[in-house]
Amino acid sequence: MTGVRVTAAQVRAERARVQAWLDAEQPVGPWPTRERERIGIEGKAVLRFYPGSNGAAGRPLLLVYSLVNRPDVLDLAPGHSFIEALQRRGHPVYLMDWGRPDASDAGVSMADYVNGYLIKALQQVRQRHARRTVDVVGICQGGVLALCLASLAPRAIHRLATLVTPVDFHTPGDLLAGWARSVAPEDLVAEDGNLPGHVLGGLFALLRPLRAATATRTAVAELSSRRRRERLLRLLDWQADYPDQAGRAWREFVTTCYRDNQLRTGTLQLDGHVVDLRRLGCPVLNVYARADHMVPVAAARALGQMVEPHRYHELAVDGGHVGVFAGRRGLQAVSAAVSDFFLARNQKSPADARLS
Amino acid sequence: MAEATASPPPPRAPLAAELDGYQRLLIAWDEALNAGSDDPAGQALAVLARHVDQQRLRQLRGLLCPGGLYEALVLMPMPGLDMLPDPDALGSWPAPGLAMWQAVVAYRRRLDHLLALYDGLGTRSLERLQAALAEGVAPPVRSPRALYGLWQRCVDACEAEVLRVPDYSARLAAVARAATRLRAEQRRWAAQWLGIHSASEAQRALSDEIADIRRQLRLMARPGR
Repeated sequence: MTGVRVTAAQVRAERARVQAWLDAEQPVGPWPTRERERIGIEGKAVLRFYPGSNGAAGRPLLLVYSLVNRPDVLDLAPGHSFIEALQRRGHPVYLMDWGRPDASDAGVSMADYVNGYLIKALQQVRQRHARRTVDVVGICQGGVLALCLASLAPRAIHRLATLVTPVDFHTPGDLLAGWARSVAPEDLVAEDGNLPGHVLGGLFALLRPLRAATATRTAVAELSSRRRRERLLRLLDWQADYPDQAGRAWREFVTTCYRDNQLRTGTLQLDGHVVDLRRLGCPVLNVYARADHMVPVAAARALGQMVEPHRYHELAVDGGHVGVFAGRRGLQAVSAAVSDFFLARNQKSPADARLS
Repeated sequence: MAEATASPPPPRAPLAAELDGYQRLLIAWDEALNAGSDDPAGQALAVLARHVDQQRLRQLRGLLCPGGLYEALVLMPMPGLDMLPDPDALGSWPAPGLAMWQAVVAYRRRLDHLLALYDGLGTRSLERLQAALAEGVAPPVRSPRALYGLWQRCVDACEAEVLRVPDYSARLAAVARAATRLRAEQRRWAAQWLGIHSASEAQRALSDEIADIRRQLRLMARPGR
């Protein structure tokens, strides 16, 4: 074949090497539970507490992850953990773990998640640290919920960072939005009233080839190290785990955000309160991935057109969606940028950094 | 039809599944070398391309299956599928058993319509890879890993083209709707003929009620913000 210069010895050695990796494969062990404490919030939701490296001195940080996957990916492995990176920089971290919805949660709405679960979590964190305000990081769909929270409880939030968070759901080429607009959400809901996790799992698996070339596949070279193989197995384990989605909240999210683009148009209402991002009172750092196949760049950057310019900061990261909070480059650079943003006293100009 | 009649692959360990393609490539390459092939790499890639042609369709059928209960039903051989009248043209059918059959046929038709876009995915990827190497778009390959990396990029590029077909979302949504109809017909059939009634409506009403009570309690004790 033209352009292939590989010797027989290379092929045979590689075949033996791959076989050895497979022979040595161990099942994925239980996920590490590094948190010091779990605090019940409401329903199945708990706050997982990870103290900062300098005790309780720093301002606490609330991490709001998406409802779609489990948040364990934020603490993938020692030395490869978004949470750990923030702890090392002195932030006491609280992770919102939404739990796994079952039939009893089918009636939980978006307003319940924001005005109920998140507000309670915010109160808990404030009380425990005797602080008036908390820093908040929202990731992907969790970023949407965090934006709603910041809009509805402005006095309780010091600064907000959104990571790979869609704000405009009607940007061109948004395949996920195209699909969401083509289905009747009610059609996909199972007998128990919830959206089965495997439906979303299947959809995301279909979209996977759209990932950026650099983020698309596991480089075989990465597998040479046992630690990296273990990390990959854990990532694959996480990637295959889609909890069912509370039916009502899911239908509302598809209808209000994907179909009617209410977050972008400022018409989204939760419990009768309008979520108006133009009135966000805290500084916002918006981190987006340049090759994100789930949240197009324009969908994330739309936030910049809504928040007052002097409060808005932006960080563009090379690579894909998951890489921002679980990739090597993302872990180093994004956690540092988020930490710096939370610790900064004055930020006058937007930050834009290329991570490569 | 071959893909439809094949049994679903048994679950594999995660790493084995991740390395499946690479391992196949290496084995085929080694075998071609042992057989004294003039073009062992090309021969190995052709094996891999044929595998992807079949395996991706099987994988997608599994991925889009409306639930474990239906796996056998939606994978079973249906040689007469093209000869059956379109269920939508028949209108409502009084017998629930037949209605369920209609739902299976409708689901399979929508699924086949979607999967037609993936036909020959491996072959197309191989053509793309050969073109990239021949035209010098890709740098010369000096290791099996580099060749496999290029192969993966070509497969993803071909599959990304599929996803960008204008009516892709509509075809996918049609599969989702057909799957919903299949599940509903199965429930109706189970209720009418086996007397098994699902408690879904009562259960959902109860869930709504619980959420409503929680909401009211929250509003009554609205915290200061």
